[in-house]
Amino acid sequence: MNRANKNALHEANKQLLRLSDGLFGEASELDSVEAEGLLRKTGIEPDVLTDALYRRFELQAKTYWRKGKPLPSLLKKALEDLRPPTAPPRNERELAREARMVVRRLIERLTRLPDLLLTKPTPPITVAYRNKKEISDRDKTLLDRVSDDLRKRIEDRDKRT
Amino acid sequence: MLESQLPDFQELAVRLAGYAARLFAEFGIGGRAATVAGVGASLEDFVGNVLSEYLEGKLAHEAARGDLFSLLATALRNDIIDALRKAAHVHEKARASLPRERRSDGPPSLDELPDRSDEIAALLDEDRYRKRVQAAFRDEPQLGEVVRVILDLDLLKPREIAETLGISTEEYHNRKKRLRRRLVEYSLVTGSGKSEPSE
Repeated sequence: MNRANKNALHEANKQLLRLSDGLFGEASELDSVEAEGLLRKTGIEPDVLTDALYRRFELQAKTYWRKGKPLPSLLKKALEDLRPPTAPPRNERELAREARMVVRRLIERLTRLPDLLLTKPTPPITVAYRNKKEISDRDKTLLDRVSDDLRKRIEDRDKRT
Repeated sequence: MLESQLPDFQELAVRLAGYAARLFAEFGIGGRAATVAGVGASLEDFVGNVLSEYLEGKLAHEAARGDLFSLLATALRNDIIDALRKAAHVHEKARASLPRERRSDGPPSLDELPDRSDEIAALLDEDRYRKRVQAAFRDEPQLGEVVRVILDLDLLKPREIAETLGISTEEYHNRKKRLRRRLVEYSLVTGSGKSEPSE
């Protein structure tokens, strides 16, 4: 069934779709931040989904490469945009693009650093060694002393600030 | 098309998938691992199919007819509704071939494959849809009153709805966002123990 026929068929559901839009909003109201939230609530990680789409479009592109045909510009752009950051760069242009992304992310993190330092979260201290059978009681006592000392120093630091 | 005019596919894919998640919840299909029964297509399949059609030029976008995302979202919604219709039909057809009673070495009988075709078709029935929505948000005062105004008074314009509720348009849009969030937390048909009221 082609698109025009499909669209005609959905005239039958026009009222239902009108209600759906009225209740939950038109599609255009959904921005990418909200969309990511909805996906996560559904149990879908957006990155995992876009990686899967990338693999799908890569297969689609291979049929063009095999025939020696040029890729449609939209497909080419989709592959560029959806390319997972873990994929190795294929040429200098991609290498430069990824380098720019890494630097941009680094700068974003650095600009957030002062806020993070202000909040000074207390690092959690875990005493996982307590369950280890191969550690002697004497060693555990020593490690307990170290962890107590560390806790005390953190408390002192928090009091000073 | 100039390179600068090409869409950002990362954003487009995420928005479309978010919209598909909402539709899956709205029409009772389910979440991550769910597929439309009998058709076997998942959320990712629907999004991938629509984007593929666009990438290959089978789904053309004319700027005069609206923005690209709305075009793809409409195509996506039509595909999902179409798949639900097909699912009801496939299910009915599968049952039609079954014998009334099971023979020892034969296929399962009609009783063993319960009739779900009406149930699947009902997902697209307007009256049933209204009841499902009302039941789902019955216990949430702020969201429930938005639902009541839209369904009972048939108001659809944001300003009219906001005025009737005595709230600002901004607050109405916030509530609509909350409606979407709550919608995906439970499917309108299968989730959260909020069942459709008995008729």
